[in-house]
Amino acid sequence: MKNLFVLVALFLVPIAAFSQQTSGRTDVYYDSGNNVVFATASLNPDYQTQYYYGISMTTYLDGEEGWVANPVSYNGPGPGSTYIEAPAQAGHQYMADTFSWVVTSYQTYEVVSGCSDCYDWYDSYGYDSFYGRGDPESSGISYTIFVWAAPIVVERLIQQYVSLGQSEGRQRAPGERMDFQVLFKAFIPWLYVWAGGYCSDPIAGSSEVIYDGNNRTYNSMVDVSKAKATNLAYLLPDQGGGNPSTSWHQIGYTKRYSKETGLGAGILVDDSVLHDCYRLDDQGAGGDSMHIDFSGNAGSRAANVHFYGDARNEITGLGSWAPAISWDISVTVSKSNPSAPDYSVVGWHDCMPAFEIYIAGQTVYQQPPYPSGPEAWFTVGYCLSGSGSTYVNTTGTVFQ
Amino acid sequence: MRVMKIIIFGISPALFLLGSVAASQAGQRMDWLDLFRELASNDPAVRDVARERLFRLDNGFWDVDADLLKEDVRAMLPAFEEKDVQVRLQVSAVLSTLSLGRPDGTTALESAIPVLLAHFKDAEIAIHRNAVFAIINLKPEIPDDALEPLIPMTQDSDKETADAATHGLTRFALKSPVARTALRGLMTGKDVPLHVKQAAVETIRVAKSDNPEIIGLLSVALADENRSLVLSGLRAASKLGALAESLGPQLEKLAETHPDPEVRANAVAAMDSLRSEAR
Repeated sequence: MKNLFVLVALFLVPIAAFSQQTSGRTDVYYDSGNNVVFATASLNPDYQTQYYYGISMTTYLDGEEGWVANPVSYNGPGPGSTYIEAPAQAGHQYMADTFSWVVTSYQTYEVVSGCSDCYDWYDSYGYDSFYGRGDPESSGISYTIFVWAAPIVVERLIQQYVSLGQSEGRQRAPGERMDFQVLFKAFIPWLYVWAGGYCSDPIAGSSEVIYDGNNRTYNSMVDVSKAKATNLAYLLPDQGGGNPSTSWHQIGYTKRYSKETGLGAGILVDDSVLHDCYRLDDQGAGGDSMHIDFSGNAGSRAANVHFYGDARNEITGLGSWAPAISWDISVTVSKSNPSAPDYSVVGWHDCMPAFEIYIAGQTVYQQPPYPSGPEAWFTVGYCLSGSGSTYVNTTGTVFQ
Repeated sequence: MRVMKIIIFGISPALFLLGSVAASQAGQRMDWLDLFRELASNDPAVRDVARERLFRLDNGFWDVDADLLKEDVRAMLPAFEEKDVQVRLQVSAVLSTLSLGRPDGTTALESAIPVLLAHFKDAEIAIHRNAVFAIINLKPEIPDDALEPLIPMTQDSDKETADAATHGLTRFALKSPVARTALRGLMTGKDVPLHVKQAAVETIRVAKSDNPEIIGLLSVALADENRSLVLSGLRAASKLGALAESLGPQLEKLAETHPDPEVRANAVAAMDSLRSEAR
């Protein structure tokens, strides 16, 4: 009988879809009999709606050197699953990420054949209700129309992919740890935060504006959609440095809302028309001025990563140019005692928003924002202006 | 080099209580210079109590009448004369925040404006950055005499400062031919950093001006060789809709001939936006 020793994986991330409930998870396992790591992922639309909606999912398996196997995808009716495997290297950590979409199919009825400027009607089965033009090359929905009574010229099927997010799992092959993933994130723990500005529109009137927060507590997962800034680096103390090819940073996405109409009871309310001071007023990625530098000493088996830079909100309004979120943090891991590697975290960051640092999934630093809440408008602005920064100086041992 | 920042330590409960009792409401005179010195103190206990006093004013800064806030602002200004960088940093941060949040900042901060302009030349980056932020976010309008000192700040070596100054210059350009000329110089300058040009495009996007000269500046962005600047220009054109009618031929050309599919798609979206509003 095959000697299959399985280490069960670590993380489960529920994925919520809009009017239907979709759940997904990704697990990573180590098979000592074959010395391979493998990942399985599943995605399940709810029973009532799976007739109408297909699913799409792609799973990636990463080691410290990047992809260790070609990504695997599933496209079709739900539920679905993926399987991916790769040879294991002792002491290395492997991480699987699955990106998931629900696929809605629309019948579109074209009024004038080939006319990209004419109105069509989408039947979205009530899932994601909007109306727009039936131009499949279009990058977005630009129009709202509620009445259509022209003869049908062309009928066609269009599929739309609605991103559900990602699930993730990790596993380490047995052996002395060689690589140390360092994850450094800045996030806004509240649902929203004061924006220091206003919007106005001839129809909607004027309102204070607010920005969306990440609305979460601390979390060691790599999920760029849940942070305003994400930095990830791999330290290799035996080599006295890090691995730039697998290290990366990404600026977060920000949405701006009219506070009057966009802030509901515990939710922020989106709509498809921007720049109208009604509900969702604007959105976009921030300005990335983030840096990751490596240093270290192979002789002393120590490696350092220096995170520094700014993450700027680039959807500010006229006269509401906001200061960036800034930080300058150094993380060092030393294997002078290989059985008990130690770490140090030194530096500073703005006293807003929240910051968190993990080494190989282990919490080494978590700091809430100084302001007491999203309405503390003065303190938000004050913190981002570079005053009252938070200094970090902490040390500890990385658990094996 | 960024100014050394203040370390946060735990707040002593007794000192916290003292600070709470001593806290004033904004709009009432308090000894701001003392407060800023305490905020800059090397003693964490002193610093934390001072910070708590400052932060407890939060709603007071928001609700208070501009005339009352003027008193506070006047009382803050002597802190700019302090040699201690940390003290100057504190006052610059408070004024920058007030400018960001107050819809009547031009009035409430009137007495601070000459001082802030003078500190555009402060050697400390964080201070001159805050001074620029305080000026460019003044609402409803930035005072005219800020234009001349603002123009050179668009070339500041600090990216944050330069971008903020460009935002301010673009706000000026909505009403000032001099500013429009300066802005065109930035958009067409070969040595001007990309982030400065993008800050200008971003401001044009949110300004929704119908000034043909301003709209024409987007044409410069659309003709640039840098892909991200072209995309910024296209997104700005999309938002402007019919206001960007003069860009129509250029958008059409990008939509048909640009090698990058994302650029083409954004050009199509901008044309759609233009046509829909024109209907």
